[in-house]
Amino acid sequence: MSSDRPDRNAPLLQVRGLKKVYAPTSGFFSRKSTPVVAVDGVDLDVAPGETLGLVGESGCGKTTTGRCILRLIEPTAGSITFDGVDVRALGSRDLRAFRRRMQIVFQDPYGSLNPRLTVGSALHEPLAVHKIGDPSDRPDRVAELLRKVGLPTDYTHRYPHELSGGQRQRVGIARALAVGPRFIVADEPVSALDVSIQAQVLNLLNDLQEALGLSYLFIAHDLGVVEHVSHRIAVMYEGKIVETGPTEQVVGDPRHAYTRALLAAVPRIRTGGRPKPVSGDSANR
Amino acid sequence: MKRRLTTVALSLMPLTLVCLRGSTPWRALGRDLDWTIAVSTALFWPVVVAWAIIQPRTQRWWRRFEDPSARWGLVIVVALHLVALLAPALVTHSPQAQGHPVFDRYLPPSTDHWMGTDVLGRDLYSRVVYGSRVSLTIGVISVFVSLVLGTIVGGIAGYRGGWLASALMRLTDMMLAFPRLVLLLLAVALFSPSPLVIILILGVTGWMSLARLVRGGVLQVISTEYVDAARALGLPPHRILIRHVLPAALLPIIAALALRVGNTILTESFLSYLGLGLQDPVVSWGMLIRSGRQTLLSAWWLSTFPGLAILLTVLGYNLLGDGLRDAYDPRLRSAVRSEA
Amino acid sequence: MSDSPLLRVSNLTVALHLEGGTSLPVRDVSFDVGASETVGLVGESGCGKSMTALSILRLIPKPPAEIVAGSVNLSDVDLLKLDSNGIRRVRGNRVAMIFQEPMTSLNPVYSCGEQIAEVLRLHSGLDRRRAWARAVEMLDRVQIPNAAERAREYPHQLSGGMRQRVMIAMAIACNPEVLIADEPTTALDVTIQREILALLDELQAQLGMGILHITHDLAVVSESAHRIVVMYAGQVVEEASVDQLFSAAAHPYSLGLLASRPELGARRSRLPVIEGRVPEPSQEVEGCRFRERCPFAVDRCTEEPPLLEVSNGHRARCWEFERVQREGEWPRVQ
Repeated sequence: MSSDRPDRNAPLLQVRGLKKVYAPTSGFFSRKSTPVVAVDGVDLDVAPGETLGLVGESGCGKTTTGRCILRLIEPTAGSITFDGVDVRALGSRDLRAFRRRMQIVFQDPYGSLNPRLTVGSALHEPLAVHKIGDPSDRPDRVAELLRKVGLPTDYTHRYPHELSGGQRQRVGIARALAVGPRFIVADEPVSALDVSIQAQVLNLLNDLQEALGLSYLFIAHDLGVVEHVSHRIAVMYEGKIVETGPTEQVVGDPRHAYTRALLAAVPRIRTGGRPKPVSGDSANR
Repeated sequence: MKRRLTTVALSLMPLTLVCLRGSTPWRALGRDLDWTIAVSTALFWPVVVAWAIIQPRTQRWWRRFEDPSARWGLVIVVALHLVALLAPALVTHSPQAQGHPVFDRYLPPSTDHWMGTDVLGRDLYSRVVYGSRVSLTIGVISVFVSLVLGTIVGGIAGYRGGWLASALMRLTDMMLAFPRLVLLLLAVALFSPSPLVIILILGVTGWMSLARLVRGGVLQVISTEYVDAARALGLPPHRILIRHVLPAALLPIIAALALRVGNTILTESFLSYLGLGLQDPVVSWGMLIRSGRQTLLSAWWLSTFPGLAILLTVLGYNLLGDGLRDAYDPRLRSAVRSEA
Repeated sequence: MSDSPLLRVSNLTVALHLEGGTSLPVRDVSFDVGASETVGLVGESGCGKSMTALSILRLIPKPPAEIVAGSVNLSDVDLLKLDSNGIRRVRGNRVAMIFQEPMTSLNPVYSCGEQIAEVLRLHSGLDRRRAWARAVEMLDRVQIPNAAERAREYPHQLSGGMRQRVMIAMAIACNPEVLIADEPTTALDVTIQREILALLDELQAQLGMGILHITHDLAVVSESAHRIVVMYAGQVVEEASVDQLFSAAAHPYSLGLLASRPELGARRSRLPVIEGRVPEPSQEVEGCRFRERCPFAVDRCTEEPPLLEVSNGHRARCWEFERVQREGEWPRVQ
């Protein structure tokens, strides 16, 4: 991604004090449980055309944060402002219409596509529901979407199980693009893919950002991947953002102890290699 | 494939109606048996097709029947439904025609009367063939009623969640806790037992376990990411439920449905045997068994042949159900991927 | 490589008989694992690395899979020739295995201590009491705090990292000569991954066991392995010491794998990409199986290359390995 940074003065997405508490279920027939705070007062800003990397380990609340922003999970508290719209105040009908502007790409390329729908109908469905374009030119739009994500246009008749993991992930991206969003939450979009396929998908996301001026919230556990795609990085730990800043700063000069620990743990290719084992069966080296 | 199957089914439906010509649904709703027969035999094919359509695409639909038990079950079930459908062409006598009051009574099975005759000299074979219409109709339609109720309750409880879900599931638990027989006896006492009433009673008392299955299936499917994706795309809830959730959630239920049809036919026979079910002139297998019970030692054929018919039907549906359940249960499938 | 390797896999070929026909997910695979040595077996999904690992202990489901050729020698015994009792005495005793997801490999209804004690009673013939004491000792050895109490806990009460430690404790309980670790850290967070890798190194230093570490992540084995075997589409395409591989990879696929990995601190605008996809095991490719994705391919590649000697202990299945090493970079095609 280019080094010239997009204008940060006017954030496209502004999240303040986002909180999600899984309330204890209580009732006459059910056992009491303790509340779980998954997201604990998260503040985020994403500028137009910017990628914000949200990195953290499993269970830190990064996925919940992403879904709260889209209101796939209802947040408990906090404000979400997108392009001047108070997202949390939207009623269900307005929210459905609003979904055209924010989309999500999922981690699991196997689970995120309905196995019973062809690629074509999966891409056609959002167009029909949002009445995008003329019914007659929707097949062309579907073909155009496939071209955008680098898939052959005759894939419209294929079912998900006939595609490889990387191809499915491309379909997932095309489906998100179908409604013409400005902002995409990419929730671990490459962590289920092989290394060589990972690179293809990362490049695709990058190209789409440049071509369409998209903003991403890029959620991942792999700092190497996050560093590669993000303009800025937010590090999350136990439901809180512990450090946020430009990528070079967070990676090059981490302030928070947790960020440092995370960076130190990332496996790197060491050309030195391990010393050869002492030949023989000596128990101690 | 899907299109071809639909065509086959659609072409079978007029055939169904031709076979049932003369049925007058508007005139004798509920009392005229032809009406229910028309519905049941016409329903059977669309249900089979609907089932074929909601297959996951990873397998050809006939693969489901590779298991011998499923295949034999399907053969028996289809054969029985064809018998019901084509009953007028298959019988040797009219099921209601009475023979000579002296010479035609209690005739043992012979080349003329394949299953013998009853106290009024009526041909038992023809009555068993016509009885298949009533028994299968009641079995299939009442399970269909249960399926509709169970899908509504289970679907809402699974998809909506919250207090409504709790209320619906508590209702289900309460209904399950109530002995079914008591409900049946109560309903039979309140309404005169016409075929339609029996169907409704069996349907309304049988939806609870299906509702639980549907709810379980729905809960499983709505946790998948493709349902999240559909929500994120702004699809309206009813569309998500019908297009994305129910096809997958209903899949495991198909096996249970086949098992229930057999079970329901047994229950109906039981009611009829107790004299609480259908009354003359309607012919059902349970009634035929009942009419032969006092002469079991002298005219054994009167109860035996209807009993065998019930046995065959229940066996067919149970084999089908078992086979399908095995086919749908991934734990019983031994597929190996090249990379574990 | 020592003169008499602990574990020697030679010409292993596995066939998979499915309805569509027979395919070969593992083709003529050979490598050695010495005592106190860690060998990294690297490849992408579908390359046959897990199938290879499972075949060593004959754990592949049979049918549909079948070992059709080759041998697996543990010291002087061919594991493929043992009867079912013989192989059972080797499994978990002389050769142990740990898997990616410890939750599914541990039995949820027994406590961790009981599961380790069971292995000990089976292979070492210890009585109940001594086996339990040794199980606790093992848990202590894999650095589980309060081992005596943790031994009484059930798998679901432990975190992912702790569960993997329990799996390791169970694996090393009988002092195995070889440990096969199939993606042992893939399901874990990076900080936990580091701890587990360090633990494996430490245990190896104490016990002198050979480790076969199977992974898709080159960086992980670059830190923990001595030698690396790269697999592609069922074949070994390169075998080298860590040093040789990362400083002078000789097979284009290894080079591509290294290049397409977003490395920390090496920010680039576009990642180099290996175009296309891995051929299916059933797909027969004329000549080199990587040819169609290879930017270095020449006419000669229609003839299948053998594993060629690059330098001492460094072999690659590529006719053009000298050019690959000389250019040393994955070409960028836009």
